Amino acid sequence: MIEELPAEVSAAFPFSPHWVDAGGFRLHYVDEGPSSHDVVLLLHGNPTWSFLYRKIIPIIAAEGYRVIAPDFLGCGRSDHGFSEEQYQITHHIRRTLSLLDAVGAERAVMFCQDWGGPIGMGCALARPGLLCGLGLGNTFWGEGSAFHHRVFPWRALHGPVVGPLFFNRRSVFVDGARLGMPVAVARDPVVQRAYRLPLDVHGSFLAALAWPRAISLGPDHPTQPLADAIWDALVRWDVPVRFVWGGADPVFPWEEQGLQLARRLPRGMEVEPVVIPEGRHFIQEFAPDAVAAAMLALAREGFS
Amino acid sequence: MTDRPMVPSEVVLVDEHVDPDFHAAVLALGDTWTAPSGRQYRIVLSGSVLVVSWPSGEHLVPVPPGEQVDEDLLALAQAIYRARGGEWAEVDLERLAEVWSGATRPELHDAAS
Repeated sequence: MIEELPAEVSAAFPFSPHWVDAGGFRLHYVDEGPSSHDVVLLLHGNPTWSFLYRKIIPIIAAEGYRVIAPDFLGCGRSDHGFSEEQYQITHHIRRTLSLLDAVGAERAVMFCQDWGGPIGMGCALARPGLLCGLGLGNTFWGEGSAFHHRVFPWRALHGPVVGPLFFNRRSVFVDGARLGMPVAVARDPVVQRAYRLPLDVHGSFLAALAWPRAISLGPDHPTQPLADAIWDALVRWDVPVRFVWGGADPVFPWEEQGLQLARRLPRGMEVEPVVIPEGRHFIQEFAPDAVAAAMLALAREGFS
Repeated sequence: MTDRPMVPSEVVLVDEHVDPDFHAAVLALGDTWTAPSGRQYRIVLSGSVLVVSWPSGEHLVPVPPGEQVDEDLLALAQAIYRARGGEWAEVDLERLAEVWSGATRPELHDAAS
C-alpha cells in the first residue's frame, strides 16, 4: 500500500485515504460526501486507479451523495498481490463486495469503465438489489472486442516473456495508456507520475498484466462463464442507464460495445447516449463533467 | 574481483501464465537459449509457468546492465513468437513498443522533444 502520496499527486488528488482489509489485502478507497447506505460507486480499469475520477468525485459529493471510488488490488494506493492468480476477475469482484459491506453500502449507482464493467456488473450479479443505476463508458462485459482478438497491436503485447517485459521492466503499457487520454492530460507530468505510481513504488505491475490475459477470447477461457452470466443478466436489470462514451476509442468502439449494451439493457435506449467524438478510452479524462452529470442523474432516479 | 554487483539470484524473469498455445514454441527453444548478445539463459516451462534464469555456474558472473538483459529478453520473446509461427512470427516487438510509446499520436510529443 502507498500511505503517502507524492506532494504533487496529493495536490491533484486531495481526498482522505480510507482502507479496508479484503481477502488479506489492504485496499484503498475514496469515501467522500455524507454518510449513507446509498453510494455512487466509481470503478476504474487498467492501468489506472481512483485518480481517474479526481475531477468527478467533488462534483457528485457536493450534490449530497456519498461517493466510493476503490483502487483494485495492485492499483493506485492498494496492496499488490504476488501471483497472477490473485488478480482473477472473480477475486476482484469478491474484494469489491467486501469493500461495499465494510462501508455499509446497500444500494449503488455505478459508473464502470474498462474492467470496471465486468467487476461492477459482477458485483451486481452477486448482490441482487445492489444495482440502482448503471453508468457505462468504454467498457465491456468480459468478452474481448475485435481489438482484443488482434495479434498486433494487442495480443502480442502481453504474450510469453514480452508480457512481464513490457508491463513491468519496460513500462511500455502503463506509459502507453496516455494514448487513450487528451493530449494536455497525457503531457501533464503530475498525471504521468500518478499513473506510474504503482509501478514506480512496487517495481512491478502484475495487476496490469493479469487484466489483458483475463479477457475472454473464446468459450474455453476462464472469464467466459462470468461474461456469459453478465450478458444473460443485462436483460433483467430494469434500472436507469446512462452512457458516456469516447467515440474515438479503438478498444471499445461505440457501435461494437456500447450500442450492444444499450440494446441489451431494458432501459439502455431510454436516454440519448453521450458519445464524445474525440473521446478515447479514458473517457473520465475527456469528459469529467458529463460523467458527473450522468451519475447525478442516475443517483436522483435510482435512489428515489 | 569486481566492484559491480553479483547476480543475487538465478532467476531473471518469471512468466506465470504462458498460454498453452505457446507451449510447443517455448519447448522448441530447448533448455538453454543463447541471445544474440552471446549471453545464455536457462528456460524451464513447468505447467504454464515459464522461468528464465542464468545457467548454473554463472552465478559469479557480474550482473549485466538492465537494458542489456531487456534486449536479450526481447530477443527471446521474438524467438518464441517466431517458433509459434503464423501471424505471430511477423510481429516486430521493437515496432510494437514504439507504437505503444505514442508514435501513432505524434501530437503527444512536444515539438522540442
